[in-house]
Amino acid sequence: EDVTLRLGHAVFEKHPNHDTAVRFKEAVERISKGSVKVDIFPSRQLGDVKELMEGVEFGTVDMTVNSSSALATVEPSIDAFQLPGVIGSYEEFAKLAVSPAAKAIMATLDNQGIVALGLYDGGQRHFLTVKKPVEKMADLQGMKTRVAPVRLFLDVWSAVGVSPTPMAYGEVYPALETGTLDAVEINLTSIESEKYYEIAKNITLTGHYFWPSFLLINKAKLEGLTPEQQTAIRQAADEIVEPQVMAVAALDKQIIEDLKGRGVNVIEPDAQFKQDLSAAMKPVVDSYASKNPLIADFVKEAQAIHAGKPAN
Amino acid sequence: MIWLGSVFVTTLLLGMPIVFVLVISALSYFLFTGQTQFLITLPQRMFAGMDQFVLLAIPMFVLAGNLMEVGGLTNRLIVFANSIVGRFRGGLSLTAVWGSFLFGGVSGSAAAQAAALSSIMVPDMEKEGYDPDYSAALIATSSVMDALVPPSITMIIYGSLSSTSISQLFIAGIVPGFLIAIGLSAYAVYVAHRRGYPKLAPVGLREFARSAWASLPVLLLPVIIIFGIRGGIFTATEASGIAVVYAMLVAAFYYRVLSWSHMRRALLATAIMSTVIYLLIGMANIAALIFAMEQLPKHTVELLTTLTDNKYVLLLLVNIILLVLGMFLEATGILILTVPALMAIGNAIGMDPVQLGVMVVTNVVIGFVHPPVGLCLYVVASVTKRKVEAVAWEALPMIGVTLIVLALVTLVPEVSLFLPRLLMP
Amino acid sequence: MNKSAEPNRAARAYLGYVKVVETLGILTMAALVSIIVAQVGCRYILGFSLYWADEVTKSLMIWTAFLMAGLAYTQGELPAMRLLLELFPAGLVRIIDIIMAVLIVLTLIALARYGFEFAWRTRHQSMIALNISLFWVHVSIPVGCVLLIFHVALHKWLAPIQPYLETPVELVQ
Ligand code: NA
Ligand code: NA
Repeated sequence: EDVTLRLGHAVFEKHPNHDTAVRFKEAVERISKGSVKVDIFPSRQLGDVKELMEGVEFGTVDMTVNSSSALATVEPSIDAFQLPGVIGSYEEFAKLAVSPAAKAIMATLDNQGIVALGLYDGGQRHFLTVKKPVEKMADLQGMKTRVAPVRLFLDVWSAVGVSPTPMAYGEVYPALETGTLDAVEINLTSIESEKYYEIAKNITLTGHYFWPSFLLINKAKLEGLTPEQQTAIRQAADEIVEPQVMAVAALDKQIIEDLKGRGVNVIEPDAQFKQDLSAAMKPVVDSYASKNPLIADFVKEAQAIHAGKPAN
Repeated sequence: MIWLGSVFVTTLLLGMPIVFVLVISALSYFLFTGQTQFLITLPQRMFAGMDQFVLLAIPMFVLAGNLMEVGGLTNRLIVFANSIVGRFRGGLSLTAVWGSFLFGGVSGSAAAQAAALSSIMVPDMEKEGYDPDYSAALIATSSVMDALVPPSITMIIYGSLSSTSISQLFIAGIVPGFLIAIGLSAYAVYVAHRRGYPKLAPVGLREFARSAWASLPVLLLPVIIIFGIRGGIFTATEASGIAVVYAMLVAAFYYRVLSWSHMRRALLATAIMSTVIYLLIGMANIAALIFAMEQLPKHTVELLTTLTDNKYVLLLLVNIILLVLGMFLEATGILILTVPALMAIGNAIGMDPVQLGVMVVTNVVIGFVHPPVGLCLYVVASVTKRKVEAVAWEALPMIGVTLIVLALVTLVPEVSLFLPRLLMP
Repeated sequence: MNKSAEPNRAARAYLGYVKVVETLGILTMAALVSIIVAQVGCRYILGFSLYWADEVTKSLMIWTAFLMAGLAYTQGELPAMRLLLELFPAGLVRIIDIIMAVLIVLTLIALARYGFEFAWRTRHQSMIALNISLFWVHVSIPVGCVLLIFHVALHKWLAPIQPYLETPVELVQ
């Protein structure tokens, strides 16, 4: 019997998460020969991040593509995906996303009645400042920086020495403009979509962590489908990981060129700055890894992939 | 959808409070469509609607207004406005209009403003020979400016629903608010000449200075808010907390009227009023989910764009739909139900989200005064003990004035965008 | 309980409850102002942010809204459209009001039940800064509904007690 799945997400249609949804829809409809269809509800139509996540758990929303950090208070090991400096590049992200260590973390969500079908990316995060260009560690000290309200990020940025400032997303633009905020840590697509480049003229490509997203489906819904449909869904979810992640990489390159064209000062951090930054962040990584074996395994896997030889 | 509509209309007309109308409609929609698994989204959506930091500006601005009121704010503003415009024909009616405009800079709630001003001014105006229905209508219509002059609860709700900057919306509303004041003044002068309403004796410079000094702190509040935001000291939400402290200091040290009992009463009144607004926002967020599930915004946009691809015709249709909704619902409800579709339309025609916001807010606040469900109309009629129909009849030409300003906001982007671009380039 | 009599024991109990809820509302409003102002002061003057301010203020306001919902109902503060009812004879209006009250109570029972389920099923999530289970915030919904049921069902008896309250009517609009 044919099924139509309702997929909601909380971002605008140029965001990589929407791309994930579209790629999944295309793949699953092709693989299942139309027996599994997907209806995409973009831009918070079915609710914001928290509601969508709960919705998949309750079964009121079939699927979502949602920032993994939204689930961090439910399942602490999810912090692994955003430990700073752990994932080296988009290529490594694509490999890690399908690694056993990542799958083990995703499997913990089964207890909540949620199946995480795959891990994708919403764009690497960089450091955008209004006035002062950030070229070395000292430049970061005391900068009032908008940070998403997640425990891990507060820990990371406190360790770095910026002053993490929580703020409603809609207030970020005027706050940057008026000087209530000095900086924001953000992905490149959002700089374009929110037009932050109009006011913030320096971007330091710190790439401190990625902004991963899960493709989530309600467990009961998935298990109620025919075996063929379930296979099609899982196959589609796996198949799109690499192309989705590499599409974000390509998009980022293009946006950097666009930003240069708009007169934004694009700063590539030098070796010293990179080293200082990772030295400041390392204690946070170590403390999170020591608290949770799943996180420790993921960090090991990431280091192995970075060194060119996967741990498995 | 038919179930939803009929339950909604029936319970609304039979006098059920609107918060319950929204829940019972959603509840019956899920029951009658057999989607009982969705019942858990009722509390979930309600919570999500209320769980937004920017909404905290609502209790804070209400409290600032309440504290200022303790200091006799309404009277002081009236005396001040009088000292400037009282000397012209229809002086008291001009005072009502400009008093409202100034009042808008402290108050976040049009209904509270209308109640306070009409209870003081309508009896005074009656003594001077003004028709009380006319006076009541003028004050009700003037209260529309409250939602355009910062701070404005309606702007906060629009900003939170659409993720538009509240700081920019605040500044963008000033010019349209000013235009409404000018338009209503022109109409008041015209009526005063036709009906022979009197001038007041011109006020001397000394008297003017005295009244200006007495209302100075009140006049300074919006200035502090705008420059505080502009100067990077606080956000629009935080400005609300600063406004409260400022109002407290003014009441305690400038007017020397603040007592513990006053504080207590102002805090309690604020808590209850915020409760009502929060419940409305929470409950209406449930209705918004059903609209999304039925893909109503998408269908509306598709329908409108197949009807016409002319930007101006499209905007005209949007405004008409909003005005019709305004006949039956109050502002918060309309915003929650329509903002998703409006954002989609704004995107399609490339309208600046801030201009769109000012247009939508102007439109829904006109609904405050236009019958049959004009909240301010009811408040003013009940405070002044006049018949709603009579007040509504007198209000019709004044609503016409506000509609002209709405047309300007819709067609001329600079009306709303000039000031934000000047202050926040 | 009749209007002119001195409040009896049940009325005194009710007034005591009102006093508690009102005091909580007042304290919350004061807390909101203090926290928001402290937030601005800390960031602008001291250069650091109170990262818990957001979460705490939002949760306090939500609790207040649900705690005071019943009181707002009894005081007639929840807006309703009474236009059509004014055309009907008083007897009919009374019957309609009773039917509406029954419908409201049924709706609130459903909302309380699903509200509790919602709070319970989301207990694994926690507040980010305070690390307290979100259950304690979400549970304000069923609590508010239960209080509302009590106010709606007993409206006929509670409304006349209201004049004893010191609620500043001239400010509440
Ligand atoms: Na205002
Ligand atoms: Na209306």
